[in-house]
Amino acid sequence: MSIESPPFPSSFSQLVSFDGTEKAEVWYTKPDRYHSLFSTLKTAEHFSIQGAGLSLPLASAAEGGITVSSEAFNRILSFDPENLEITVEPNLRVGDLLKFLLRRGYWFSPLPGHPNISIGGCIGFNIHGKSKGYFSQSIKSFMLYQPDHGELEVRQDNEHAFLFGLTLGGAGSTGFVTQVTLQIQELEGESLKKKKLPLANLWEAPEQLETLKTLHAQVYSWNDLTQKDRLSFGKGTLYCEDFSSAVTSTNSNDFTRLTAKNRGHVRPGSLLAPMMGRKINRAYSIKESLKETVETLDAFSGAFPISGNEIYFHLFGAKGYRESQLLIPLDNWKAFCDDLYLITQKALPDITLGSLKLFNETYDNYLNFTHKGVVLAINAVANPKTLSYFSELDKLVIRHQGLPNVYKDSRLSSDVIEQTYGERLHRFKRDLLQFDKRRRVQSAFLQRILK
Amino acid sequence: MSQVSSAALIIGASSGVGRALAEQLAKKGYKLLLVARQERDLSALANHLNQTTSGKVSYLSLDLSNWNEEKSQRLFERAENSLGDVSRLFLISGANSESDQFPLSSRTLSSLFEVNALAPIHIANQITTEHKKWKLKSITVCSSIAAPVPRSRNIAYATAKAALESFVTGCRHYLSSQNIPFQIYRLGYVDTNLSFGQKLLFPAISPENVAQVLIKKSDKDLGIVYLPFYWRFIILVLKALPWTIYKKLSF
Repeated sequence: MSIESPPFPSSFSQLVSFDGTEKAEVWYTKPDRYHSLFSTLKTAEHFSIQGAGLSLPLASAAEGGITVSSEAFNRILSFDPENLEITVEPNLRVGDLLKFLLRRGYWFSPLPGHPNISIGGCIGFNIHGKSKGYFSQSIKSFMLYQPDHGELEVRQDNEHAFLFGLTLGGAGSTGFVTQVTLQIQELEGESLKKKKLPLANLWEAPEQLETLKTLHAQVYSWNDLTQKDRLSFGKGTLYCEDFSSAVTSTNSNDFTRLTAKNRGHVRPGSLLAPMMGRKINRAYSIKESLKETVETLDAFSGAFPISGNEIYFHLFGAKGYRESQLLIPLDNWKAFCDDLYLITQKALPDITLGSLKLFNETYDNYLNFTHKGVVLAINAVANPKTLSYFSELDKLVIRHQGLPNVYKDSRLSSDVIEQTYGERLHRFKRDLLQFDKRRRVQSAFLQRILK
Repeated sequence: MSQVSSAALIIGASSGVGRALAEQLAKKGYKLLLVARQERDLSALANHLNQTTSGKVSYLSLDLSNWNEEKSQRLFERAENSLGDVSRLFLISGANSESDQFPLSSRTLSSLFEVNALAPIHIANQITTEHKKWKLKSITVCSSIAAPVPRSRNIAYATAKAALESFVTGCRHYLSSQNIPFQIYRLGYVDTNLSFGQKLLFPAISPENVAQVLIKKSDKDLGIVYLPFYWRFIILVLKALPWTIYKKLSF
């Protein structure tokens, strides 16, 4: 990677991953027009692309490299309600898209966890929603700019169809998506009805989730993994969500412009995070028990439960946190839980969040976190205890033939990815190299997983 | 800004201050004609504003270099068709170049002068001359702190902006009996792609803040204004320096 100043306006800056565990010093540039974007990408031998910069691993920077921000490209280019289509630029934030659609009686799914995530980020990581569908399922077409190939229209039924799978979940490796046409839906209700049910432990969760999934639009759970008693390990709350026509008193569709940089700023409570694993779980449990069993939320708040609760991320301070997401085949779930209980009791990591959802679709596309099974997400304070605990999780996911989410865990090694994704990883490397022989897009994330 | 006057022509609207201005005026429900060189950027901005605001936004892709009768006709025909009146004229465009320093080529000199001075002067001239036809309510021009204190770097740019300031001041004088307000903003550092990454002596102001001021003050006949205000004092000091000291400055 070059460390010489590039021949376009740029600033030598440090970029940090959202989880706060990876950093890189880069030449950062913010083209504000298409011609300067294209000339920047043509001039740079290697580059990374940054959207909102909210990815957990450092997917938008490589040490000493050039990071091209898509900040200026955040517009709605066309809206076609008749055909239920909207065409947007990549830096439009999903929260802004949803606000636009809600005002006109439309909806879009799947949605990521926070409204400040960009559409380009959703493409790069082929995000999944709370429980149904992948982002790729809502994309009709997109335009992709790659300096050696020019600007290509990518559809699933044209000569560039191979780029559809390679770009969705490719973490920006194929180039700069200049615009994307999304399939939208008519809004089924002004609000979301959120029903809570108790969950006894982790072992029983999938059966309950499966039954409820047939009855509700979205089903997921919060699980307390700091419980020491085996019978209550992973006890928590099941959430069932459906659209409702009920009118809500709130209409909180504004949101915090969360960034990786401001997440790590020291705030009151930041330094307490390392000792708060159990307490955060208790506090959340008490907060939930005080709420009604059935809540009606405006559609925007229902879509992004973390919006307005960003303090959770700030509590980790500059040292940050780590996330692991594992997809375990249903048949292996109980044995996996037995092992998970044992390693958790042994390591006693500072777990701040546990959550479950079911995936029913098989879409084995390269490194996409997609298959049938139970998805377990774990957040923990970034410290040596968590590192060794997550290494044990690696062993478990291999043993139980599951998949780790490469887009969430910034310490996942290429070895573990090789052992879990196998042929899918090889195909990704081969097809990417075939398209981009010079491997022009580089990032700390790509360098790690493609090692 | 008065709600009666609701049509604006923005020259240099595709990025930076021009884009921010278009966004804020469209939110106020203005009818806008956006003019810049790059059609794709203009069309993206106009489509976005038409979808997301109550403004009615059209655009014209026009290169300000080599200004001629044909370009002028295209611009004003389009303004007439899409705006009706040009009650607000915003001359925001500005271009600079890495090669704007000695030895200065004729090509660089001509092209920077055309874009930064000649074309905006032609536009200001026509609007001033036909102010009744266009129901003109104000003219706002973005100049630069480089105009009053020229130096060896960016000399063509500074000269062009100084020429534009002179011409627009003349227009102000001509229309002084008509109570048409004029503002010529000498902008300090603005956080745009042009200044991004440069080591600046003072903090850069955001294009959104500049646009806010431009809109808020467009009904006031201010003449030359520094933005941010403290540049007035810095320029005053620089202008007061004896040449023996000024020539040694590197800025």
